[in-house]
This record gives sequence, structure tokens and C-alpha cells, in this order.
Amino acid sequence: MTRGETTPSNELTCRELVEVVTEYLEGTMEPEDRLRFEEHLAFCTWCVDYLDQVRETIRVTGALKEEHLTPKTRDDLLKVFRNWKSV
Amino acid sequence: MEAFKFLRPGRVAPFTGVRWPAAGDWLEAEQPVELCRSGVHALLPEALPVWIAEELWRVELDGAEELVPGILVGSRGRLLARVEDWNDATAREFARACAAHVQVGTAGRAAEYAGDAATSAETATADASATTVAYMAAHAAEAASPGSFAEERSWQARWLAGRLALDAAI
Repeated sequence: MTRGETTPSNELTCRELVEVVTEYLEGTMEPEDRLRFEEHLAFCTWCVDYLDQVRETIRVTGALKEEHLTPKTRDDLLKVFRNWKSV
Repeated sequence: MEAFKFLRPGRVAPFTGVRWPAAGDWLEAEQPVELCRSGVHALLPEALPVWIAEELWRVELDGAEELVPGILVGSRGRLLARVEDWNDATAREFARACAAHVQVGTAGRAAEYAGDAATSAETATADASATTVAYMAAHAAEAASPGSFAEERSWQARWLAGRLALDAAI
């Protein structure tokens, strides 16, 4: 066996990667799960692109400040967050 | 301890984006070593097929531990020399060998995977495309004979080590 590699039965799928991408970027993923995540990235260029897009989105939106929002956008966002927290 | 490291062009680490210093200069970890999170990571030959990238380097790690089989993590590391034989030509050779190794006697899904591997091998280069062919071939082996995935990965690792004379390098 190539030691240290995940096997077909526990390898990460693209869908699973998308579900845990935030944990990966925030560094809260367990080491073994990070290994599985990066093993997937090593061969899946689609997920590499997806990860790059998420990173870029965080970079761009992270530069936004409250005063950049129109009053309507601010109200809409607050409404979304309230509904989200009430679920 | 000596090991190997695949890097993107310009000595860039694939996941962190860190640019390794020129050969001979140490790259120091900023945090205590932890698998896939901090520390300087490198590979033993047996793990190479999973992590292929454009440049292959022979590296030296200080304070290295094998945190999972085949993957070493140290507090610092330095590039010793680039494995010059690893290039697009040998990557395609590797990809074709991986595909050919699983062609015989396959049927059904195994044959589909093997066919995909053979097709993809023709355009493989020293990057994720070669990794993908090796991955497909390992899945073809698994589909043909459940439990063979790891064995096929071992065969791929031996092919790389033999073709690139890696065992002699460390």
C-alpha cells in the first residue's frame, strides 16, 4: 500500500469538499481531514478552482465596510441574518 | 533527514503558496509542527504519486517526524537539489505506464476507468494531470479487483522511484 493515502472507501468527494471548505480555510479541520481534503485537491482541478474562487470572494468581500452599503442593502442583509438565526 | 518535495513552478508550495528559498537556505516553520497545518512537509518515495506537481526536489528536513506514513513534517527544511529527470516528458511516461499497467484483463467499470486513464495519459504533463491519471489507474485496479487500490499506488510509487533513481538519492 502507498502508506498514508486514503482509500476509495474514505476518500473525499467534490460535494463533501464543498461542504467543509469553510473549516479548511478557517483552520479548524482535524489534521486527518485536512490530509483527505488536500489529497482531493492534488488531483481535482475543479475543486482547486472552486477553492480559489472562495478565497477570492473572501478577499473581496472582506474589504467591504458597513458604510459601503446602501441603506436598502444593509436592511436586506439584516433581514437575511435575522431569518437565518431564527431557523 | 532527506526526503522529496513536489512544488509548483518557482519553488512554490502547492497548498500554502509559500515560496521556498533557493537551494541550501533553510525554510523555518513559524508554528509547532502539525500535519497539513504547520511545519515543513515532505514525502518519502512511497507517497509521491498522490502529490505530483511541476517541480520535484530532494530536500533535507530538520527534526522531522513521520506524522502519517509516507509524509514527514519538520521544524525546518531546505532544498538540496532539483530532480531534473522529473519533467513533462517523464510525467507523460509515468502516466502512460500507470494507464498501461491496468489495461490488461479489465472489463466493465474497470475498463472504463482504464480507458479514461489511457486517454488522459496522452496529454499528461508534470502537474495535476499526471496525478489524475495515476488516480484513475488506481481506481481501475480497485474496480477490477477490490482492495487493489493501495497495491496499484505502491506500484506507481516504485515506478517513479525507479525511473527517477530516487532510492539512490537518499
